[in-house]
Amino acid sequence: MSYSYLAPRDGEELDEALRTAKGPMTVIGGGTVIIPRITFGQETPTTVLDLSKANLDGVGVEDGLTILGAMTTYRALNRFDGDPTVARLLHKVANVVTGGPQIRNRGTVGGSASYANPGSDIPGALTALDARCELRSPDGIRNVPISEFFVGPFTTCLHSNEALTSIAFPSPVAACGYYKFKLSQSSWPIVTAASILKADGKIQVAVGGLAGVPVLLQLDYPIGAADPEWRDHVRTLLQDPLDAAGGLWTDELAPGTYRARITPTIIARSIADCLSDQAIRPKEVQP
Amino acid sequence: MKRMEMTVNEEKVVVEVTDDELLVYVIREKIGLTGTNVGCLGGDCGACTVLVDGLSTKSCTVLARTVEGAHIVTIEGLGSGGALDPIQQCFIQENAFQCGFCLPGMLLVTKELLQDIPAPDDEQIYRAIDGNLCRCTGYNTIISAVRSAAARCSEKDRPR
Repeated sequence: MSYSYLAPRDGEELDEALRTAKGPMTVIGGGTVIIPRITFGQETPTTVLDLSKANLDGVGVEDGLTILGAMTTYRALNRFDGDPTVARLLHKVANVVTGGPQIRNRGTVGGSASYANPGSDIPGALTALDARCELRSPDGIRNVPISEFFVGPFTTCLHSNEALTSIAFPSPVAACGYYKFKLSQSSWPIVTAASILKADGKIQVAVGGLAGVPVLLQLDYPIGAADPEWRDHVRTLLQDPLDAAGGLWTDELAPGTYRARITPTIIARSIADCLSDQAIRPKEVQP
Repeated sequence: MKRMEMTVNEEKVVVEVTDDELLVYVIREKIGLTGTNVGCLGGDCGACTVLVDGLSTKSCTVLARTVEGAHIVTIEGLGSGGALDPIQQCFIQENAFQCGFCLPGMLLVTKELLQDIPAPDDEQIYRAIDGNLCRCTGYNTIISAVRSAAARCSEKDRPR
């Protein structure tokens, strides 16, 4: 384990670091996952690029879009007071991230997105919110919809000389819900479901952990969300997006068939949370 | 080697580190504060917890270079010998440890919790310690100790 360390302090230094880094480079956000992976020899970079000093942790609003710096921590999400509808889902997600306050203090939205663990909380939440990712390289900046950012388990569309620098949230939502199932308090999630009630009454759900990338589906207003017929309906709706996402995800925590079996229930609970989210839902879209 | 400065338990410290050195090893082997334990090295157990600029951090998941210039508090900075912090006293009174390996981490996350939330409810206590593993106590006495520490701190701060 021997590598050189770069910690750019602004965009220019980041470009320079991305341009000049030698050999395989690993970009770290909070480092909570990647540093242990390096310690255990699961990653062997020649250069570690640390974004923690690059001023990428701000939250702002530009042209009506809420913009979240990639280095925003889970702790900061809990204090984020931007667009209240976006904030509410991010609060819900940040509140249930596993690993204790130490991880919530250092773990970052951009780091989790870039690591692209199928079972992480962040990929599904960003997918539900129709986020857009700003990717920076010495060649310039490109904006990528979240549906194109995740390309497979632990794989994103980031090029080797590119870093995720910010995330934008384009559309306000009327209410949101989040539910995840995990095997124990300290376990990675098995299945997550982030639900958004849109202003037109449609519900959008992003399911994490079911496939290698989040699976997105649109539902009509779900009367009787917990009944068996509705669960069969959801299974049918899931089939095409699940195929497009590469099929069921299996790892040492759970086989894909198990994830598929529990997914409708997790979605139903997430929607129930969304529909009880009276705090922000305007009257005109209340059922 | 890179020469870097940080503040550890209110004292300025200058150390020489390599780019790939973990904070936990710098604290233990170069600064000599061995109360910070090396556990899993994977960010799971919480035995290596320190406060970095007031926030609890698993020091096995952080490069020393990342915290250059930061204020670090280790368990030695919380209290030792005859000058124990009230949180430490409550852990003793409630028998909230046995082997003691998790104890530095448990104490420091409790310190952070009570700074953030002086009167936490049980759910907030559970969340505060959910990044720290204890294989001796079954957690109940730890939770009692955190409750006692919160009560003692709020008693101390109550206007008279």
